[in-house]
Amino acid sequence: MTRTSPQAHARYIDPHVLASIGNLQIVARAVVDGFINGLHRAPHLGLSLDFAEHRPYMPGDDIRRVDWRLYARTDRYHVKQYEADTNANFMVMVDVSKSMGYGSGSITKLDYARFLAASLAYFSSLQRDRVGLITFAKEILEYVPNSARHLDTLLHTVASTQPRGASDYAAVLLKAQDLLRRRGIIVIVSDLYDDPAAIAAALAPLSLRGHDVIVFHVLDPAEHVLPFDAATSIEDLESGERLPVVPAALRDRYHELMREHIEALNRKLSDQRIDYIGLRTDEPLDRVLFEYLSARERRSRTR
Amino acid sequence: MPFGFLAPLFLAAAAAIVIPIVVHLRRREERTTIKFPSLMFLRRVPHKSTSRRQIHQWPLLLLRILALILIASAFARPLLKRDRKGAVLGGNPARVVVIAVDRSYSMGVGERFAQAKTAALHTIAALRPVDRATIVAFDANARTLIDPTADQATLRSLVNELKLGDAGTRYAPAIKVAAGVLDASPLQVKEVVLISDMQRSGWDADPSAKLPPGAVLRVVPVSGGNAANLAITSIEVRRSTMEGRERIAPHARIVNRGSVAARNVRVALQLDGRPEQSRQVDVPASGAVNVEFAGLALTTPARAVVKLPEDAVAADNERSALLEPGAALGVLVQGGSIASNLFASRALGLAKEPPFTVTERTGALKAEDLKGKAVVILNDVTIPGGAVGARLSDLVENGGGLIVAMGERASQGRVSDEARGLLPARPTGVVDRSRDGGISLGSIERSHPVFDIFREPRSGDLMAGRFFRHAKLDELAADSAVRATSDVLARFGDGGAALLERRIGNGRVLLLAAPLDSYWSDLPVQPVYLPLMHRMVLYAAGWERARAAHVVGDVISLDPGEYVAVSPRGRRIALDAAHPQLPLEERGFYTVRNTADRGAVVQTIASNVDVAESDLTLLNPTELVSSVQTPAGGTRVTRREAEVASATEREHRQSLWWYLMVAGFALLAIETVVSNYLSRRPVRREA
Repeated sequence: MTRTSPQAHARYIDPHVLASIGNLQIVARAVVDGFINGLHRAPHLGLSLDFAEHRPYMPGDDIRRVDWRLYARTDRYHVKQYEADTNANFMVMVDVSKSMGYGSGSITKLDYARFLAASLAYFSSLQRDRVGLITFAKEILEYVPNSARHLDTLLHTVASTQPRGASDYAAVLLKAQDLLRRRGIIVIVSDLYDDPAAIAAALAPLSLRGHDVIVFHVLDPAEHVLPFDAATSIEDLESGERLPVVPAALRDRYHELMREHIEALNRKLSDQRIDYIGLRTDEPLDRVLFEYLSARERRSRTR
Repeated sequence: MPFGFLAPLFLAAAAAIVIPIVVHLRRREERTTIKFPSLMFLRRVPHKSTSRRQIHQWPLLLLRILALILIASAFARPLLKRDRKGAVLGGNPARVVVIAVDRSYSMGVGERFAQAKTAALHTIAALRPVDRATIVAFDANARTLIDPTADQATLRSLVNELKLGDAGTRYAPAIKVAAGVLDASPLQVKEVVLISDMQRSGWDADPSAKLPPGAVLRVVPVSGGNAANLAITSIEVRRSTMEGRERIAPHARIVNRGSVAARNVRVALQLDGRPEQSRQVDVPASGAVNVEFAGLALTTPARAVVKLPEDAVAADNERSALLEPGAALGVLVQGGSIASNLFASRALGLAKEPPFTVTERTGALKAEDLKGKAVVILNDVTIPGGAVGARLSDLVENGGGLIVAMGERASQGRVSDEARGLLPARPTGVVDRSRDGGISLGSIERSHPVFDIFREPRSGDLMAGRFFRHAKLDELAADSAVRATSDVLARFGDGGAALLERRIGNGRVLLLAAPLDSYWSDLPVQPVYLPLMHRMVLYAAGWERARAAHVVGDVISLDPGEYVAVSPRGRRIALDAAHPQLPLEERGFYTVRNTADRGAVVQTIASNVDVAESDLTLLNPTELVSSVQTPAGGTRVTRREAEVASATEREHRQSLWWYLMVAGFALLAIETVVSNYLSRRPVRREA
């Protein structure tokens, strides 16, 4: 299985290291290039393919891709490589609400979302996909339409976006239906602070229209464990509301609620055939990509 | 309740204990604000549960509350209602008692002083533990021996140490001192116990001697040992001159205060500690005799003591005096002729206290004539110039006197520079009033020492003398320095200056606008002439009668210097150098020595008891009580006021508030340490 590829693990890149790199294109390349080398089957996923060339079999390659006929002639294992179709649309929707500006460490969730969006867009661009970007909070804030030449624009836009306002998934996704009429891949990066049922209900139309919807749920480690000790007031980044609490006293209950929330998201989105991938900002990005593509592959097999 | 509070309203401040509770809770809630992505889950947790409001630092909270309660209690001024001996207080209020004990020398009669001490000890024994008392020892003066105290042992000790004094009795100082003590006391029940032989002579109804309102004066009279009391009330010194030598004869006055005549009383005179003379006299009951001793020829001051046999009051049986040979004043009368000097020299020759040694001269004044002279009288002669004039100026500068009488010659003559430097005014001619029948003196400065003996009625008519002519004196000298040191002492009826004075150095110059003979006036034949001449000479010479003796209680002022005095009983008294003053407290002879001059004796002072004390006539205590006590009425202290005052005093004595305050602040300090420790300690994470 590719999940256990030692090369992939060797290439894990710490997000904090990436955060020190200013240029998102370099970040994306650093993440994606090394990743692809060990993930040869990735280009086939969900695409209509044309044969490009053969290349020697390497451990980890799917043996179903081995050209047995060529093996019969040459007595060597070769796998076929195909050239991607450039007609697929790849849209990244990044939540830039204020809650995404939170970070207990050196990077915020929005930083992490930037890296992720840039990496995925770069990755898709390599496959000749048409990449696009939507940033949203309460409404759609920036929109970069899908295009094979919009990678630079996308990277620039996602790099310059700042957290603002509160998020409203229903309104944004309703609007996105109008913008994304052609089927494609829609990646949503958000912290998903809303009712899981409401989120699933908002995403359902996209999935029903034939979009491949993948939801990346980005959370800071602190959001999982509520690490504060002393009595304090906690201020909601989006609404500004303050709540005096004793974190130590309600930590367990909070943790439980968060876990239930994640489980509910996973369950309800899966019911809508939407991929849900939970992320922590202290996790390496390339491992995230790996898991993403693995998930895609599993889905492709089940289709 | 075994305790109470003087100011219970302050206990309301204990409500401040809610402050640390609120702080305690508020601090937990609002110490910091943390920004967080969403309150979505936190809001679902029942965060306003008891856990957030729970008090986790109970020791801290209890420390704060306890500290506040202690401090509030301290302000409420707590007091125990039982004293240390367990006696319930608050019944009869505490009182302050001033025990005034008479220590005048009349208390030495019989057992009076012992009785007074016993009475004082009884008064002390009757004090309750809550009462305060003090001892005031008084005679002519009064002083407090100790601040009011409940320590009976100390009070008894002070009473036992009391000693008789040599001064007389004065109740007013004792009453004033006692009033001061009572005024300063917070206790409202005030009492003065006056223990005395109640001599009438000690009370002169001083209206300023009053006790505070509500204070009670209780008189404890002591008596006994009353018998014939002889006293020497004075020693007078009479001086005479025999064969050119002064003889001093002491005269002692012996008074019998008793009702029985005293027979064959031996009166002894001691001179410098040696028996000199004695006399036997009979003194009638309630009568007096004068005892004259034979004249003494003294060359140096001698300490004279006149003694009587011992009787009831020993202190007045002895009297001291310092006998000083009187130095005759040398007076030079310089006139135009023997006849013109006649009246002046004869008048001055009659002087006895002090005697004058009169030297008559006519013609030009010579320098050697001035030798040994205290006063120079220039009777109608011009003031000499040159060396003689300079000597004359020196004499005046050094304390001598100059009397210039203007006559025919002096008024017409030229005034020399030396004369200008001495005279208070310049003669400018002669005024003739013979056609008017002469004029008399118009205005006289009667308060001046020259004229003060004529102030009383029928003490001499200065207006009797008629002046037919007199010199015209230009008193308005241009020199401001002359004006500043000169005064007009008498004027004629026409306004012209008759007698002027000028002070030069230590001496004085008197300028008379008429001669001392009878050519221009009939003053020399008037009765006032002789005393006037004496007074003018004495004033010009700056002579003062030396007191042969002082009375205990007097304060002697000395010129600045470093002195030490030795009292009759050998006590050394160092005097203040800038303002040396010696209070006389013992009878006998004080010796004052100059420590800067190898201890040379500068003065010997004879000190005697006040003879008024010898009069043992009794004063009715009721008279004294009614005089010093505020009349009963509106100032009476109510029982409630007395109880409040008693509680105040008890609280003041117990001072519990002090301990509570210290404990409160100590707890706050501990709380600070504990809270600092707890705030640094990591919070235990609850699973």
